[in-house]
Amino acid sequence: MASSVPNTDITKPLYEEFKNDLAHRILVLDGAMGSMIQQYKLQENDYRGTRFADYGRDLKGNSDLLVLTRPDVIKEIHKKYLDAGADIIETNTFGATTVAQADYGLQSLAYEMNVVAAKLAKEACVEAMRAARARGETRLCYAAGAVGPTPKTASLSPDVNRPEFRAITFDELRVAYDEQIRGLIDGGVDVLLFETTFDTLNLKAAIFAYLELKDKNPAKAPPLMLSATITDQSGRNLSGQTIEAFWYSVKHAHPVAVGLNCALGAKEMRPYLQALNKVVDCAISCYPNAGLPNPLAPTGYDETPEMLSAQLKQYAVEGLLNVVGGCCGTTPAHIGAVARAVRGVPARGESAMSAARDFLRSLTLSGLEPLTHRLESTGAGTFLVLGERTNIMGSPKFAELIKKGDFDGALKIAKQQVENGANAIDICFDEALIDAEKSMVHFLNLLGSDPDISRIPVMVDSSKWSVLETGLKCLQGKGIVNSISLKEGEETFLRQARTIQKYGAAVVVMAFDENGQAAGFEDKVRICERSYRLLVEKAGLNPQDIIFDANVLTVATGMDEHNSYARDFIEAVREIKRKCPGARTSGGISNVSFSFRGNNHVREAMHSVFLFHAIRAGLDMGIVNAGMITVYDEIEPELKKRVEAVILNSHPGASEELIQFAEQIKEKATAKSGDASDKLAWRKGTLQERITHSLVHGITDFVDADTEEARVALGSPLKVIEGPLMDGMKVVGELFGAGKMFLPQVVKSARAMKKSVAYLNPYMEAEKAAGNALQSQGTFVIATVKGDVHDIGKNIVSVVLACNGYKVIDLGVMVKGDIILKAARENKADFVGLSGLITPSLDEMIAVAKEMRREGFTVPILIGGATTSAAHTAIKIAQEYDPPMVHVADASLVVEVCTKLSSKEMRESYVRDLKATQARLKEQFEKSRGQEKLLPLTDARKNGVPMNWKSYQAPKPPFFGTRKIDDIPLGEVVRYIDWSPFFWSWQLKGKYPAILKHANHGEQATKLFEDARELMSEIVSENRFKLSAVYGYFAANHDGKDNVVLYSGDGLTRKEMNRFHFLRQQKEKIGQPIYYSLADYLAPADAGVDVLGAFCVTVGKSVEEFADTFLRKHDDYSSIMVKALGDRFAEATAEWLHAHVRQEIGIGISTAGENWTFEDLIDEKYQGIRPALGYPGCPDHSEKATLWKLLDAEKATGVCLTENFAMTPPSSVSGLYFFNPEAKYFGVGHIDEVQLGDYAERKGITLERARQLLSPNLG
Amino acid sequence: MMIRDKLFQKLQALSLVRGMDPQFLVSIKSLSDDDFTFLAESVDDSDYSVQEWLIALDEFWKWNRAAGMQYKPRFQIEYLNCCVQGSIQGGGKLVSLADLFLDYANVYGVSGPT
Repeated sequence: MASSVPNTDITKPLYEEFKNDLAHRILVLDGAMGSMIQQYKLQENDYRGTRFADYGRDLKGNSDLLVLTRPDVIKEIHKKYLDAGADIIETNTFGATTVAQADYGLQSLAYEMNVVAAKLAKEACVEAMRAARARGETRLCYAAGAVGPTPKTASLSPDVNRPEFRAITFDELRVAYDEQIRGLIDGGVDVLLFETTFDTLNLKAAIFAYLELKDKNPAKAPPLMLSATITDQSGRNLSGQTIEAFWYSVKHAHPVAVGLNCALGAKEMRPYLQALNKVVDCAISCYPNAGLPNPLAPTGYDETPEMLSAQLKQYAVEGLLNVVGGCCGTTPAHIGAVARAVRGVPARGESAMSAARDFLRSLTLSGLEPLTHRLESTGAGTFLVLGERTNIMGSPKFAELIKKGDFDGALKIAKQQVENGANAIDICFDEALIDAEKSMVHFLNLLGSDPDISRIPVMVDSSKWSVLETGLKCLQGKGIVNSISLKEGEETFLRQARTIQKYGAAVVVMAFDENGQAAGFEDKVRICERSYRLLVEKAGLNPQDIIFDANVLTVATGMDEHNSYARDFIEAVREIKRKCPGARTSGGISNVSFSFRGNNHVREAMHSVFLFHAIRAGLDMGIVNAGMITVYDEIEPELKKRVEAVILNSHPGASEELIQFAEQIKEKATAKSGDASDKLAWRKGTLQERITHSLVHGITDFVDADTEEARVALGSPLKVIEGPLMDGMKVVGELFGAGKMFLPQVVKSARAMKKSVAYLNPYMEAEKAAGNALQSQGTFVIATVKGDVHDIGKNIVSVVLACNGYKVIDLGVMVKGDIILKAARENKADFVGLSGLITPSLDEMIAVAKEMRREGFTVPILIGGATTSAAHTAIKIAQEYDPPMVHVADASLVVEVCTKLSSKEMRESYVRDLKATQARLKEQFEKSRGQEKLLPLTDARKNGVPMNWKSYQAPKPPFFGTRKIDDIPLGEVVRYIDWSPFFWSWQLKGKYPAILKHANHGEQATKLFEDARELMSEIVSENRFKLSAVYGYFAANHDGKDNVVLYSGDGLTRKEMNRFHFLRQQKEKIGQPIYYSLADYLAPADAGVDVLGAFCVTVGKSVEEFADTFLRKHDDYSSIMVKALGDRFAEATAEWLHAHVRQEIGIGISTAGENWTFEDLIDEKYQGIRPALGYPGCPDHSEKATLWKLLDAEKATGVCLTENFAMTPPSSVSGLYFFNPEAKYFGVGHIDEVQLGDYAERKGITLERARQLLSPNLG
Repeated sequence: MMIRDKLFQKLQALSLVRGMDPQFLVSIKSLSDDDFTFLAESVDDSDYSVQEWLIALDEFWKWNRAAGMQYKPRFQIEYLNCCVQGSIQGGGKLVSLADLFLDYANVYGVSGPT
């Protein structure tokens, strides 16, 4: 009967014996317990026994309890089945979990029930084996610990109106199953049977519990059988999975058998058994109901033992079965018939399992339906498309919906991806202000309720492990984890991999290790190979479940070392597939074409070519925007040739060739009307006409050709520059001067000019060597002064000067005076230009002027920048330097100024007029001084902002201290952008959006805006800018002397941590006599502790880095645009953060919600203010040092302060938050010497230093 | 005396010296109480005197006429406020408010409700 070892200790768990038996014959499982119990007609007192005689609830129907109260009945039933021929009997523990027993309030008995039930079953088996031995027979019987599904579903909502709701969680189930499994093991079962699975997620929780117990004590882990229930003719379980999908979801448990039971009769199970036969590489079990329910039948079911056994025998003969038995409605008679029917029939054999094993040499994934990714003998398989639009970081639309809480809307995006052919969808909620775990649960639960979407596998995407795990707990299917890596070392890597295994998911592994991201071929292969070995050899992962992402990086950036990135990735894929057999490869495809943002035609071609080669090398899947790929064969040949050269890095210069060609493509693509020949009609003009046209319109396509033609015609590169190029730029200058061209166009002209000059450079070097140097209009040394970092205006001026033939020595930002002087001396400067944006820079300019005088310089100084003015130059700087000192308000005027100063004819009269104007301004200034009346400080302090502190309620912040926010989604912040300053930086006057319809420059403003929006679109979609912030809440009080004292922690100990020093208005008022100080907005100490906020936001170095990519291509226009957008983003992030803080602290909500329009935000109609230190209400920039210390801002955000307290990187904003409802913005204005002295004393600085810091307030 | 009366008295005195457009005087007189209070607050929040503000508003009036525009008085006061706040970065009160207005109008333009 059994192939067994006669001397086996049958009282011990028979794990190996069971597995051995299973491998050799069909084992027979017992039949129904419930219907057998019914035959005993047990009453309430049977269920209660003596132990629960006084229990306060009815217990009849709690069959699991009978192991404690009527064990004799249960054991007798076991015996009946064993006598009938069953090899395996199930413990009476179908409902013996805390979850199921909660219906009776007997959760605390769950463990005991399982132990006792296991012992009962085992005893019955031992007695049967002993009896057989006594008869001279060899028999092995097995007690199977039965684990039911519980009455609750983890994948389905019990409330049709709340599809996202779940009555039970994965973790709750896991805990319950852990207890049950331990009880069964402790009770001595030989095998575990997780059965009647109608919700795969419930089963996955049980498997997780089992695997955890197995990890702790492998020797004590029984073999495992799994059984699913197909609920009806749909062929799916209750939670909607097909049987194949179910198997893919659970095969990570490595069961010894998997099969079907319950719900259907044997006949109905055929197609599902056949399906299992193809994909299951272990034993298959089948224990159907005795047909369909029939109330008239004695067992309640249709089929007789003969009927059932005949059907099951047929399946056995077909080689479909290893374990067979009966479920609802079956009796010992049925089991006896089945046992007799299958006796001697060979079990489903190794060949079937082997065939399935071959089939499973695939990446298997599942949603409600299976996804099998097989590799052919070539190593290649079907390319899988991973949908990326449900990623909050990559999809502004999705992000917006999630932020609004519109999960239903977000679900539509998921649906679209499925409809568009995505094979799996990537879901990510990594966003600073979103509870990613909660959102993941909500969204996945909702997704689970839509079978149109949940039919495909899910890729759970996060940089946080906790979010990944949370996502896995919501997936009944086999999903993909995106991602893990060796970034944090082997231990963490392996721990995460092992945990992912227990959830049964596949895993994306990034080519990252402890040293960072792999960029080149060798590193990619090395890291992936190392990861592979660790995962397969140490963590025991199935190689088919490993997906390597070897990092797709951008090519044609202008940096030579990037040119091989695409080829490196392709070759790395090839090598990884070779060195990591079974593993898959993936990548984010659109990364490769970032350099060509705005040129979708080229990008599509690049994606197509890249994929063509990468797939041939073995790329298995990718995150792809399907709308951005052209069919490879349909790419126009010229474009394909150039793209291929770039992707494969076939020769030096390939990138440049594509860039040039791309410009033509862009022109063609954006042509709105007219045929091509009309558009190029200007090409029929003379050489000079063509060069001028190119310069005026900023067209670079034909620059090289025309420049070469000019060089050949004129015989010298210098003659080209001094001739047709300068003539063309003169036209630009005239049009600009006449207001017919605008600054952005001039900067575009510079791009064409620079390209031409770059073409001529090699020839000019040769000429220079021969002694013929280019004559320039003059040498202009320009710098942003020490302590200041702003350079947009300076850069524009540099471009304009260069266009007009000036040799520009741009020293950059934060340039010390001695460096400026040295450069001016060495380069024999004809002009020195000084730029600055912050108030302290004005003093720097004075210092530079003084030094230049002291060293005997005679060259003119030109002054520019937002803080500068003709008045300040005249009144404060010009007196320090005798030669001409000119304020240039507008970049368009700089050439005119230089021309006049250089011209023998014009200089004298120009300088005379300049000096006269400056003298007049100075005189007016001197006359106007001291005319206003200032109130004494003591009186001003008595007349501060009147506040009723008794009724004042200080805000309640969610925390004291600071909090950091990294990677603020760009899409979140865009709506806070104030565009008006953007146009001003390009010296286009007006307010947005009216400027777009400006009579004079509306068209240009519109064009500029379009260019900006295009660039911004790329910035957002490709995450070019990295926004981060640090902010904090601090307990604080006003000390009565215009200081705000900050306390440690919640302030209850009043232990001072730091303080801010503020000033007070003193100018005598004509209206309400309130003399404002920001300190007035904090409560005094006797009114209780108040709260002051602080913040710093930044776009970081990402602005400069992105801008530099354009500079390297001589594209000043885009470089300046990037910086201008960087500033806009910084300001917008400050607004975004302020809105967040208002909500967080409760003042956003209290003022009827943050439903402000954009205009309301600009007009500051919300409660609370966020003054920046150094601005009118708190004019002392040096207070930023305190702010930096409070926030630890440099560490948190990377933003540093220069010696003059400018922030670097420049696209940064910082300030304080005042939450008082009375808080408003104001300027301190003039203060007297008494307040100056008081301030110096409070701050602990010299009077001289205070005077320096507050010079604008001193009149 | 109410703020309105105070301001208008000063304005009348000024107009005798500067020869202001009578229409400008009418427009100032017809400012709402709210706008007058706002003007007073703006004056108090700046380093400029009442006279300087009134002269600047007169300049703005002339500029309006030259540009063929008629911006709302409230907007004009707000614009001048911005000029004042901006000038603080540039070293404080160095020129008259009227000159400051002309500088800003030239560099940044004027755009607002008419």
